[in-house]
Amino acid sequence: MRAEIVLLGKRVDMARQTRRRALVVGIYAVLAALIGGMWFADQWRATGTLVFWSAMLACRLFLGGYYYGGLVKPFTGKGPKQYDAPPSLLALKLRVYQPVLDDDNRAFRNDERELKQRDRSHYQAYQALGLAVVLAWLVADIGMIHPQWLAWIPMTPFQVFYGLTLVALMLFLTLPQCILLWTEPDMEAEG
Amino acid sequence: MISTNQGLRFLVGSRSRRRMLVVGYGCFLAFLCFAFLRYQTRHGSEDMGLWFVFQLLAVLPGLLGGVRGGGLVKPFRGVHWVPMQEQGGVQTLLKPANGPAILQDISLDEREMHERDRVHFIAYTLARWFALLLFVIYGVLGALQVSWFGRVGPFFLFLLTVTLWSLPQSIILWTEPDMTEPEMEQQA
Repeated sequence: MRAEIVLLGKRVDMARQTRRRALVVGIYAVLAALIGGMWFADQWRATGTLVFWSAMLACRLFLGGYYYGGLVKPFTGKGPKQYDAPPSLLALKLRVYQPVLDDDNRAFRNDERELKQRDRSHYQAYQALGLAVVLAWLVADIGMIHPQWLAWIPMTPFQVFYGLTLVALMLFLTLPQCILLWTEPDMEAEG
Repeated sequence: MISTNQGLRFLVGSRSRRRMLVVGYGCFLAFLCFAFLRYQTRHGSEDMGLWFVFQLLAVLPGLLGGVRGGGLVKPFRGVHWVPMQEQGGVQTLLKPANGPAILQDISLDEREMHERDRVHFIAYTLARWFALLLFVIYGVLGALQVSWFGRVGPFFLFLLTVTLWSLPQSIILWTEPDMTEPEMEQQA
């Protein structure tokens, strides 16, 4: 795991666990606010997919794991492909270009301890998601068989189902990285 | 990681037999999904038949194990409540097992826990791509015909759920190498 993120060219120290936990809470708060706001905007008719893209953006900028940016090293342990051509102007302006790699891609390679942590976080996330999809399925079922049971919710059963699906998808994209960021203790300063 | 104390013991030792079992299980799930979609199309959703499907969903992954004790794969979370353990016998899903044999299946050792976590990483990566694929197909179908949203949504979620609940066990059964006879005796 990396101890800092570079955001618009500025280095932010994330070595302390409290900062990482604050980041996780912040990301989920923003995503939850987004889901709530988009419900009031158009009942997720056109904006539902924006939740998906927002989760992807959070992964790229802050979380990492399945992407090269962010705090968590790539789960595959491989660095990005290096091209001879310079980064695009947009990437340079936003300062999100990839760093120059050293010979053995150490910045992207997981050691044995990190591999174990990666596997453990995926196991925990898998358990949570297994329950989340069953919950979504159960609510969808109840909504279809006994719609009067969900009459107190100001949504149609289909909208409830769609909302739960969006939440499950968001968790699918972010949960293992967030578990890692949440559980990793404070990092010691190098040297 | 694989229990040798269950009723289907003749299947456990050979990897090829285990792979056949996984393929058979997958075919049965595919048939079940097809039947679910067909049933939903013909009779709609306002019927208790969906509860029957839900019950199947709760029982089927238990046959492979992992999610609970008594299947081919040892329970991932261990067994924390074994009421008959002290009396020397525990009823499992496939057959009653004797006391000393089932004790070995109650918890995983350190190597097995690492193996369990590694398999879950692989399963998560596969399921993640599968979920994204389903979401894209769901969006495309909904864009073509709005009424399909309500029809295929529960089906896709059902498909994702059975996949999530069965994939790690299937990977373990698929990849674990052949057991030698002494290994089986030692585990049992």
